[in-house]
Amino acid sequence: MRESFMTPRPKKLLPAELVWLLSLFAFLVVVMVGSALFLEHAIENKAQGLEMTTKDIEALRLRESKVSLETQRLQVLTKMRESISTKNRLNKENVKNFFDLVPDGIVLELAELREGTLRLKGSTRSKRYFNETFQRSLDSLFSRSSTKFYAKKGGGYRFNNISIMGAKK
Amino acid sequence: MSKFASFGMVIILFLLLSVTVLFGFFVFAPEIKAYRALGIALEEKSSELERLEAAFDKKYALLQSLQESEAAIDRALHQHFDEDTFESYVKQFFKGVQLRSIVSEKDGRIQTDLVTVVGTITSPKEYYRFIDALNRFTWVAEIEGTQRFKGRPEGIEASFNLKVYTKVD
Repeated sequence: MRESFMTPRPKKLLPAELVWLLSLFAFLVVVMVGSALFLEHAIENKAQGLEMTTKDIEALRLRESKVSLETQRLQVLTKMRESISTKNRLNKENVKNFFDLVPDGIVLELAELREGTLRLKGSTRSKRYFNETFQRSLDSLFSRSSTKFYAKKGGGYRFNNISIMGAKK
Repeated sequence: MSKFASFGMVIILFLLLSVTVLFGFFVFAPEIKAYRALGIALEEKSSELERLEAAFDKKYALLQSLQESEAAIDRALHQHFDEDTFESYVKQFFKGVQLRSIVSEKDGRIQTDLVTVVGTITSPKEYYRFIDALNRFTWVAEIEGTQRFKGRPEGIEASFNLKVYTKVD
């Protein structure tokens, strides 16, 4: 039996290739687990963001419905205010136009303005003057206008006129 | 390395690769899929929120302008009708004012009071001034129905109905 004079090397537990492979795998596992954790965190963030955005949308919709209701209420008020101020303005214009129409020689005792109808009582120096001035204006504005005259004791005439708008002659 | 060891290495390599692929397939892929789905959903919600915010801003601006323009009528419809205050207001424009309340109706949260006003003016201009002032009155009021003007020695006696809108008592 021959004997070797070389000192035997201690046998490695794992071969070098396997150590290298296992190290690579360990590195891969670390990378994969890290990435998975990072993704998990990112997903959680996105989910939170989504939840917050959904809540913001709901809150905004609620505010929007309140704003819409208040807007509708105020729009009703706008219509009401416009209609009332227009009506008042028209009333003023009607009265103003009527008084502007009265000629100098005619004295009014009563003027009654209602929708589409005008009733007048007063006195004039002559029928002719009334017919040539005031009656002409009334005829042009109203579809029907009739006047009755009563002679006054001291001269001149009292008149009673009714003018109607919208009715056929 | 022996043939046996090499075969072992191949097996280990195959197992490691399989674990990596399986990890990627069962852990990574679903997470990436969920992340992308959440990203898309968040983007959609964010753009919806942006759109809603833009629409809300417009509605809110409209509401603010309405609140500004309708402040007076809104305040007026939140006040109760008080005949004494009303009489002192009318007295600024007419002499010898007589008021007579005719009808008081309730329509929801609004109360309407129909009041007959009889007062004396010296010229029609005072009546026009009253109507102009009516549109800036503490309460919302409109002239309703017949307006009557009678010649009196002290001036013109005007009588008309005013419809006043106030808050229900």
